[in-house]
Amino acid sequence: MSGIRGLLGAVQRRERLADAAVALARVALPAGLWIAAGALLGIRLLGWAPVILWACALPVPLVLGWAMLRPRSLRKTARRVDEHYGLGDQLGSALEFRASPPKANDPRTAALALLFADNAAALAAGLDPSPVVPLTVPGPRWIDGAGLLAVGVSMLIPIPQARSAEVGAWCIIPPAVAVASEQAGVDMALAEPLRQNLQALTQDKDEVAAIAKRMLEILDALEEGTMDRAEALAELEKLEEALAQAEQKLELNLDEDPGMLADTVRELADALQEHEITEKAGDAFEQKTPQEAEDAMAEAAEAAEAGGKETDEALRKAMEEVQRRLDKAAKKQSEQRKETDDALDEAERRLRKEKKRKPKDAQDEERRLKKKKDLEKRVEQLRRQQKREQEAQRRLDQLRRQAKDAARKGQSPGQRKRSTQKLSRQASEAARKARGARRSQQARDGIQEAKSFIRRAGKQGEGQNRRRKQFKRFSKAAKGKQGKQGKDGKGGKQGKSSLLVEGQVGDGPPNMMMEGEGQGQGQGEGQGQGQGEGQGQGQGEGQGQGDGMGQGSQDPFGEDRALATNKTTVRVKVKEGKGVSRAEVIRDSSQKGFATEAYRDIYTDYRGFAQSAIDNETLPAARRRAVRRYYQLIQPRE
Amino acid sequence: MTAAAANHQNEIEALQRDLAALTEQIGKVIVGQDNVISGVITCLLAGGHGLLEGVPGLGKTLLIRTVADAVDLDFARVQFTPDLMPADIVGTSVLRQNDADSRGGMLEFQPGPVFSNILLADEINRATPKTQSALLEAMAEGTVTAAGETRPLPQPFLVLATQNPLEMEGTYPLPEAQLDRFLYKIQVNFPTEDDLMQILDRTTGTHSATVDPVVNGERLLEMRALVRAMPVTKSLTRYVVRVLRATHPDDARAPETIKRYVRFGGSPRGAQSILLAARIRACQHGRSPSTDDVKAVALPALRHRVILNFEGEAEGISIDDCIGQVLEGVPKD
Repeated sequence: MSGIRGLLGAVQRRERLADAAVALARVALPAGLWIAAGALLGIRLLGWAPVILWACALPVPLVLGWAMLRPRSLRKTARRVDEHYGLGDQLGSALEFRASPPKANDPRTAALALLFADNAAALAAGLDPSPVVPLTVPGPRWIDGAGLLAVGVSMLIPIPQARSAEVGAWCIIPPAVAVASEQAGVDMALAEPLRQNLQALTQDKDEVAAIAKRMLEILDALEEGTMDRAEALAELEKLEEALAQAEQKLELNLDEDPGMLADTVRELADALQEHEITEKAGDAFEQKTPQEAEDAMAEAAEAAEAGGKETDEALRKAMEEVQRRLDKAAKKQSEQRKETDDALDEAERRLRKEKKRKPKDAQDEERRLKKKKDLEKRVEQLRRQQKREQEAQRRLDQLRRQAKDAARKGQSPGQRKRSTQKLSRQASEAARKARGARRSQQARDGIQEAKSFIRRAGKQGEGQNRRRKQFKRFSKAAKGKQGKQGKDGKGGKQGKSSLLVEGQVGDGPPNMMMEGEGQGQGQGEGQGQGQGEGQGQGQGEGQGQGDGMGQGSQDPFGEDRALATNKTTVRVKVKEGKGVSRAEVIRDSSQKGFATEAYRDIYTDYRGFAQSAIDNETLPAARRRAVRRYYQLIQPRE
Repeated sequence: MTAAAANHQNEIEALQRDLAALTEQIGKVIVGQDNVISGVITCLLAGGHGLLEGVPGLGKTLLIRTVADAVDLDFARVQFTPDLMPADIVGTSVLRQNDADSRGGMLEFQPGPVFSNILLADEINRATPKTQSALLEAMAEGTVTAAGETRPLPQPFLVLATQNPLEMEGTYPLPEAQLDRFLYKIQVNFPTEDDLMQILDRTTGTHSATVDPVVNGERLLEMRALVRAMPVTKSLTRYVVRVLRATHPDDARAPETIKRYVRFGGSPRGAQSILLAARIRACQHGRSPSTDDVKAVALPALRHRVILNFEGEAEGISIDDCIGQVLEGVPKD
């Protein structure tokens, strides 16, 4: 009898396995896929907690539990074995005869029952349970494919940006790994521009500098892993409050509108940059370095005085341009003042109306008082703004008069020098005053950028560390020494990399790609004097231009994984140009190997930063359009 | 294995041997028709009566005669005709003269052909219902009442009747009560091509087969006792009951065809027939009865007990198909 039970037990075990396989394929798989699709949709569209994704695994233990725990009748199993082997229910009958022996008058009945049970037991000993229950996994069905498709479609829906920073909190990573990852620190490679801006802000000795310094400390701590993101965000919140207080103090002390002053200085800088003699001063004004600008203007004035008539005329023309630009700025600012005046009139009108209005009840009176208080505050603010704008207008008028003096014809070089110096003093004073507000705005932008960055810093680990190092190497290389004029593009033998330098010149054919070799970092960029179409000339980084890619660019990288590059000395044809050159270093892969991250991902990151900057900063509409257009042009094509 | 078990095993094997010998003897005369032979043997072992239905010339009568020869039992044949009277079957009382004084005499019962072990009622549906009814008592109780006296029939007693399904004119279909007394209704089908060739070879030449009796009446009774001692599980008995109940249109398990086309389902005699026949079949295979046995015997045991309604008759519904659906649908324990 134990032989029958042993056989039936083995068959039942196989039945459970077969049921589990079938249930997994037929139930758990499609159910899991559809649940996953639903959960993804819920997470991405309805904001469900991401932990709901675990629900897609729920059908597996359920069906396994069902298959293993479902009660099974020994009698039915016996019938199954009997039917499989064609035994005519001998095993099942034997079980029944043992359990309840038949009762009959004829004693032979009971004896025959025992005989049949014994025969069945002997038969069971020689039977194999395997063929009775074949273990096969059913093939996929259309519903499985549909579920898979649903998951794929759900995954195409982007994760809401606000929640992407929370991924670390819920992602399916063992807690220990997550903690280790958190402690590894945040990759700050992409925050290098932010660091540089903050470094610039720390040069002065004011509250903004202190805030910038503290922000740098926070970024360092974050990178080293001594501070986690939550703490960093909290610290930044505190800094934002401190900055708001500083801005409030600054705003109370302002006597001229910094925005208008900044516009004035920008116009002045643009005008100066258009003329060679004052270009340096223009650059300094653009860089918001008033002292350097004043010095450069003085230098230009002295050069004009010493340089003779031609140079004096050049300075005069520059001053004429300054005058023209300042007139244009004055016109624009008068429109701005009008807007402020209108806003003030409107605010005063509403305030008067609110003062006269009789409240209906106590609640309405409370609302009226609050509104009145807000309007009074607004009026006060607008009055201060109006006053500052008037002062800024006065400053602009003063600059215009001085520019007019400096541009007047028939002056002696000495008189023009004095007029110019007076103009530069007034302009640098305006630049200084604008700078304070600008620094404050820069610090605020820095805080926002840092917060945005920290929230987005989901990826950690080696990949980003590598990117940080790459970025630093790139920045260092990009600051390479200026190329010397008129030399062949010959580099040291130990040069480890080559950089492609794009020249951009005022009136020459644009976009000459010139390859050189350099010692160390970037030496030799743009070296090479033209033969053929023109001669190189230029200032700044990577001067020189030509009509195309220089020769010898074949296989510039050498064998991959090797440090040495195939160096070829190339004589580059360049074309003479007049204008100021501006160089752009194009990163190539010879420095650090080929990119390992998809361009689409990089593009998405940077576009996010750009969008954040556009949203946070007060940029003119034209600039916004330019930035947007730029990101449209460089977006991934596939 | 104990001695008793070995003894029982031997009994079963002896039964199997005897039945094999009986089948062999019948096979000397009858070509093919295994199901019919098996059905007739089942009737023999069960002590039930058999109704063989088939067109003329298929060897129904020959089969029954051969069986009678092989079992070494008294055999009588009655050709049923419309003018056949009950007395022609059960017997009649005749006046016997007293030889001594020749003035007086006495009535003496002259037994009819029913007083034999095997009675062949050939073309039973040609007799009038009155004559057919003369067999009711004999078939049900094994006795005959005539001239006010009830007389037992010799044992074993077996009626094997034949009927022709084609000729309807001048026939009298058997009443339900009569039909219910048959254990089996066996369909005799037309022989296959190979069987027909063998029949021609055997019957048109000089070949003449001799059937030797292999089983006598006493042995037949022993065999009957053994089959009735075969153990049956409760689940099988329940299955038989469920099958029978499912042939009734008002049963919950009845298939849709039964509910629509059947007027009456099988009687309790049907269940008895099924279980008894299943025991015989299991014994022939040397094992306990199973649902396979029930399925194998259900058709001949039930087909004459399930009565179609008018709609079923009109649409030509096959009773065999209805019973097949019942067997498919009834669950096992």
